[in-house]
Amino acid sequence: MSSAPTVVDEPIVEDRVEPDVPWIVIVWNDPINLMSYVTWVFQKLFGYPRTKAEKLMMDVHTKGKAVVANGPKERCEGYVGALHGYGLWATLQPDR
Amino acid sequence: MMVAIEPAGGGGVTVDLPEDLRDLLESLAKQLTELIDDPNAADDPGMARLFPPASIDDPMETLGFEQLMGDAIRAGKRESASVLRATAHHKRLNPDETLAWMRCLNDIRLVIGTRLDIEEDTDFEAMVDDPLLEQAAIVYVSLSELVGMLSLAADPT
Repeated sequence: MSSAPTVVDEPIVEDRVEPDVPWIVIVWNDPINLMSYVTWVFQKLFGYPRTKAEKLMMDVHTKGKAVVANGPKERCEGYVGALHGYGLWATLQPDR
Repeated sequence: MMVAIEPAGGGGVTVDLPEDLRDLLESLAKQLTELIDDPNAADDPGMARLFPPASIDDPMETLGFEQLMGDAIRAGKRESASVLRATAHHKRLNPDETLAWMRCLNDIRLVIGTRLDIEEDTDFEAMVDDPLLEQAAIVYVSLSELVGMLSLAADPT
């Protein structure tokens, strides 16, 4: 049995910001995900070179969070969905 | 425990694991699927960790994201678990199977680690001395070792 809602509503889209305002994707530190795994995910998902992926991972680890991507809201939602698929704790927000 | 995971041609890996560990991974992947599909598991802290809110401070944003992406994320986790169950006894994994192993084993770590209340400074030595936590802690540490080895052996490009 799925926990999916039986009535599918239109997705709630609240455009309280201008459509062209860029959004950002943040990955938050957590005590479970391994540093090697997080680096691998950043390389795999964003195509970042290993050095950049490692720097972002260290930012997450030492500063508690890091902005890992930005762009239109739809793209950021896709990235957050993919990151949740990998088990990383990711959120999105307008870049303000 | 003899464990070796090495890069293989074409981006996959070879996995040298004892059969009882393979049986355990297969069983854990099945349990993960059952948890994801359990309508009564919504309050399970492990489930909350598998499906975190997409906004840190905007519940409407989180709800909208859940409506937009929730089914796809759940389907992806089910699919990874399904691939792991089907390939748990394979000696060689192609890139897609390798990816599924990493994702599913990490999801299982998230659930067990959340239930164990893992923190940055968790003392596993003390935990395995606690009879109530011992088994879960040993499994958690084994899974961490596997995910770490897969992250080193698998090609992310």
